[in-house]
Amino acid sequence: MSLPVGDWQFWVVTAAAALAAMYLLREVLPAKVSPFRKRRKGKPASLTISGKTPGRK
Amino acid sequence: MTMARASKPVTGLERVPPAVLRVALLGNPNTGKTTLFNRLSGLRHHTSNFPGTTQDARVGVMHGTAGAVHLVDLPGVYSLELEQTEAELCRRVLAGTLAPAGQAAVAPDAVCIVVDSTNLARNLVLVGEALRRRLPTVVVLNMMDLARRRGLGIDTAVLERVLGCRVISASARSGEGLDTLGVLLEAAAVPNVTPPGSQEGLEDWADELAGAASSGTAGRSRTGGVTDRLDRALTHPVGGVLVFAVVMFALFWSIFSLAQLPMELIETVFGAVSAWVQAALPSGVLGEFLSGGVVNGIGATVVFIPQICLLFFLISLLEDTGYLARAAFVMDRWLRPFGLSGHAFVPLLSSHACAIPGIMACRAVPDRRDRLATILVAPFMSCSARIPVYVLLAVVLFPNNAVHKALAFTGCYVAGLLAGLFSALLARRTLLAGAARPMALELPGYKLPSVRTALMTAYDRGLMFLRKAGTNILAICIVLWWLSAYPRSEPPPRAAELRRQAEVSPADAQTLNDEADALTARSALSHSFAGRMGRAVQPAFAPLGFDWQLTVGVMTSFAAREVFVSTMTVLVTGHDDSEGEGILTELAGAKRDDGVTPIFTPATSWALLVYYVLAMQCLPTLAVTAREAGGVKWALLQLGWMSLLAYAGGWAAFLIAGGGS
Repeated sequence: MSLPVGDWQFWVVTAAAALAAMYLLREVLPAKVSPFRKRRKGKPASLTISGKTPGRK
Repeated sequence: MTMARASKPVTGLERVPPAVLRVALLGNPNTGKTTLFNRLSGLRHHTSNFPGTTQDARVGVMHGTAGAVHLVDLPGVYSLELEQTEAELCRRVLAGTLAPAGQAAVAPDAVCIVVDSTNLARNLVLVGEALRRRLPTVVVLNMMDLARRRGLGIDTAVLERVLGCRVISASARSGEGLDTLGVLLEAAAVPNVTPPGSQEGLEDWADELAGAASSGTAGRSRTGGVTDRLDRALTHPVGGVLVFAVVMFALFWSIFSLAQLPMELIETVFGAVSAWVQAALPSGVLGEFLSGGVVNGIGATVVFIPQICLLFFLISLLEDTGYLARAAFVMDRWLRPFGLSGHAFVPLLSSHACAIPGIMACRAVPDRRDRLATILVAPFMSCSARIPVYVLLAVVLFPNNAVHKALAFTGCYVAGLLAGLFSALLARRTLLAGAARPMALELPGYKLPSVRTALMTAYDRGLMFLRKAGTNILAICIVLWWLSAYPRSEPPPRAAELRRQAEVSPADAQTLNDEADALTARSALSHSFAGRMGRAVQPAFAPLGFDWQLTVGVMTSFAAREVFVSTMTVLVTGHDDSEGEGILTELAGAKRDDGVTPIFTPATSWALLVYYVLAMQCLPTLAVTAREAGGVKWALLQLGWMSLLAYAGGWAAFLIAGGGS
């Protein structure tokens, strides 16, 4: 009674099952704590007036 | 800039060209807005949600000479000023602060207002409200063919002069009058009139305008005639309910009977594909995985499609005839005491076939709280997947009494319905507390349904199910396959002995090898991760009288209830032929590890029956709940509440049936 770690087919099906489990977890876990979902980072915007940054000479 | 054939749909859903013109389709409910949308965009559309809502957002594309025209199908509303989700959504889309997922939130380039020609005055109120938004507008007087048949006439020139925008008369069902719509939309200008600001003033304005533009009886309420006589019958407190019961029985029967053949066909095809995959691949676990996990997983998804498509096809036909509005009105007074609206009845009824299309049908429930309550309780309805379990337990409990079996079956359905209704009441008094939205709807005129629209709806819903829920169901099947397949265990000594006997006794070889296979399969499942989890969890189910085998059955059927019987068959007999002759009797007589006590004692069987009536043993349904309710928390709440009720109910049944003594 063991896992057939020497069988390459075992690793293929285990990888597929792991991917499926990750997909399900991705659906279940909230985006804030999910390691499977990238959070979009805010992109800093440079404020300009007539193409120039205010306060910069 | 002109459009050659605006109504011609383009093909190739996956290559949606960028819009040169964004058009919002606005209109009262039941004005044929969706029929127009389907007519203009054909299959060239996709469905998503408006961000932060569960409201469908359908975006269609139609050809223009300058490029693609995107049509956004807004929900039907009677007024933009109502405090309702749909009205707020329309307001925000017109203001440019909300757009379907993936679209830029900017105000539409034009608004196409769809008006029911047979009920002009009522519809013109919405037109007036939209005109105040100061957006380029075109008004489509839909259902002109129906108006003509009723002897109604509308002077579009009068309407154009007063509304300050282009007005065309058309029939979305036949396509009549739509050839110029694309050109008009592109050339649409901001109306040069401002209707009255107050609601009363607007209604007076709409009445006056309808009177001035109409000949015959258009613009006035329909009185007398066939419509009123039919309405009196179909909305009668008693007669209306009887008619509704007959219509719903026909709908329910159609789904069950018509879907049966394609479902069996799908199962046969996937069974053949599964066998072919296993035969084509070299022996090993990969073939077992592809055939048992992947192909069966896809099959488990696709098998729901006939029911889903059929349900939505028939509902769309019913809705198009104008009957569904009457049915919702009739059922409202029966469901209101439980905090549900009349709109909830069709989802609850269709949940008896399968909770998944039932929950998806909840999109027709306009009020958010009503919709959530209906979604939460829909799985209490006894779906077809519960039937194999009911059959098994009825055989165990009443082996020789058909009447008692029938009563037990009926009792299961009634118990599920009552649990659902009282859970809805509880939810509406606590989590979803709030004033119930009064059911205000305008009964649309009766008309022949559009098969084209119904087909489009069925296609749309089926595709959405495959995209959204299907992937989850496939993933669940794959994970469960792995948990049931590993770790591998050595065949039991008895199996090896049987195989040795088969070698020396060719006459009995088949029987002996089958028996050895059965023992091996049983041993493999009981030693798998799923089996071990069953043993570990068994103490939790001990109060209900479940041994480890029943616990494994309950756990593996957590993915889908129908798996219970096949799991128990594997555990007891070693093979998964749960439809074999006499298998139920064999299961009923199966013994526990001590070899004396039956697995299914009467008390345990009652506990199990009550447990399965109330339990949420269906992961695909949970996946759909999470999608449709707009969050995993609702699915977890549903799972928690149903599991709690099932456990408590099962325990009570066990004690009442004498299991504690």
